[in-house]
Amino acid sequence: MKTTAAVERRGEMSDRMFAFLLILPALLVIIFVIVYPLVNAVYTSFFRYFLTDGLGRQFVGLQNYRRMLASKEFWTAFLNTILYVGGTVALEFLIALPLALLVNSRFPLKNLINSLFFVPWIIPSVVVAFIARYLFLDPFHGIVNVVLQALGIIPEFIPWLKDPGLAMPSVIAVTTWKMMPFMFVILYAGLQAVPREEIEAAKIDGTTGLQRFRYVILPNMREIIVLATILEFIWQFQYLTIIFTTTRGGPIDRTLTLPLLIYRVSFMGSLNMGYSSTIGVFWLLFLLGFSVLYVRFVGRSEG
Amino acid sequence: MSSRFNTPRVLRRTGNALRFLLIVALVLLYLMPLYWMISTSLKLQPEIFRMPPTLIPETLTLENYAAIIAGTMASAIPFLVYFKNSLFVAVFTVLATLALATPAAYAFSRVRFRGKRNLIYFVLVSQMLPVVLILIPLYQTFMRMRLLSTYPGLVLPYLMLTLPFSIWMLKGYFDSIPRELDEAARVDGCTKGQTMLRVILPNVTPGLTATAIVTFIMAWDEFIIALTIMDANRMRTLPVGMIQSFVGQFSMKWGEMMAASVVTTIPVVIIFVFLSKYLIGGLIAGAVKG
Repeated sequence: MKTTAAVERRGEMSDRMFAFLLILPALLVIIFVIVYPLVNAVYTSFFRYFLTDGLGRQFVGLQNYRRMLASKEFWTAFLNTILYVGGTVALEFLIALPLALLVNSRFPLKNLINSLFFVPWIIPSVVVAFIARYLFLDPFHGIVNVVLQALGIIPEFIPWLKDPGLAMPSVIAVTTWKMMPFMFVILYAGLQAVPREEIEAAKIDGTTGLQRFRYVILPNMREIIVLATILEFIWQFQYLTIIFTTTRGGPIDRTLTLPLLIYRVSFMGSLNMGYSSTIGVFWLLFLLGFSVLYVRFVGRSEG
Repeated sequence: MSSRFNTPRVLRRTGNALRFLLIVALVLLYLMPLYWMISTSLKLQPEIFRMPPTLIPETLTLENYAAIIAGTMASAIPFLVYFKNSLFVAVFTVLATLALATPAAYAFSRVRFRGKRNLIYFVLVSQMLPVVLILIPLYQTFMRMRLLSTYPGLVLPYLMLTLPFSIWMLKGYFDSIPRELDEAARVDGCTKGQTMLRVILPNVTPGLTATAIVTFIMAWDEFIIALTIMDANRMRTLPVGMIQSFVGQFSMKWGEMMAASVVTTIPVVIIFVFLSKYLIGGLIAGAVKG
């Protein structure tokens, strides 16, 4: 009579074999679409390699890296990326947290309204870009300009996405509109996990709402806030669809970000694969620092 | 609410009403761009260009929809071809992701083996790698393998977006099923495979649903890989097809652009209307349990 699950039956495969068979298909695909191209890209970053000239790879050591570090375009793109991702995540947070606090109460149609707040997250990026172009750009019919002008806030039409100073804030605003719901949902879930007794106890102590927020709610939500912002930061580092389909990095590279720069170097013009791989490797090292942070954080909360 | 005895009832009622009004105003403001998209898509060109703009279309028309379905000026490809391509790619991505991620997640959650922890970290980190970086060598490989402009050629790279996330999310769902269930099944004489398929798997259907939805949304939304891999116009997916059809034209065909946007949005909205509970629950589980 067998009493524990750990007992191996006669003729049944071992745990190791079973795990291997279960993971193998996914692992093969990951090796094919992630590991192999990745190793290939790191390797290529040490070579002169133009797809256009038919000369193949020539080893050049760190030449691509020296070129990158001396390139003004690269540093512009790097700083723009930090600005874009940092700006978006910060703005998302500043909107999502008060919103989560606001809807964390009883009101009619609560479930419906909370779901409605989530809708922009599922809207395809290109659709968001189309709407953004329409609302911001049309010189005569863009509703943003029409409304702001009617209210007397701006004297005349502003081409938001084409203005060097306003393009970055505009794409940050558009991206925030689409991405904010994720932050909202996570923070709202975090808010539910704050122990009710602690809030009630603080109320009995005669604290103000602001004090309760500062000394009870915020400390309890610290972990989830860190987690949500790091996750969003890492994901949005990749994200280029809205910029690609509204400003294309312009005007005068004001919205040029790293993914866009890599795309430009490798798929437009000279197809300089060695150099674009080098930028990718830099990005990888930078994000890996972030990943370590993330993994450490996850590892700690998993115990 | 007994602790609030010091606040007069009337004041509290007014406060709640004001809060409710504020919430409703905010959600309407937040969704305004979507309303504007729908209303513009139903207007005729002269009304779109009329000043001041009309909030509700005076003459409702489906002309813009008819125009994009027939094919636009910049791209003679009927819009429905893009739609079909997107649907194929998204559905195949969902099926492939579930087929690959479910067993892997099960092994990570349930089976003991050496190197498991490192493998989990590897999966986690792999979603942080730059997609554009991977795209370059992938493009060359796929060119050699003649996978450019084919459905598998797009579904395969999509798996690099969906697999790490899905494995992680599903592992969370498997973890939440009590171990006693496995043990009971084993005592009843189930093999390892039977325990997985007949006993545990039916308990994670919410997780499978959530994974399927997130995967579908990702595939439906993806732009840059599709732009690179799908060279042939006939094989383009909706996001790329939309850009090719409209951007760069001199006239601003807002009516048609908004109609195309509505059509592109409909599938994800339908999914959301019926399954938003699973989606949001899954995202929270994926991020928080992770």
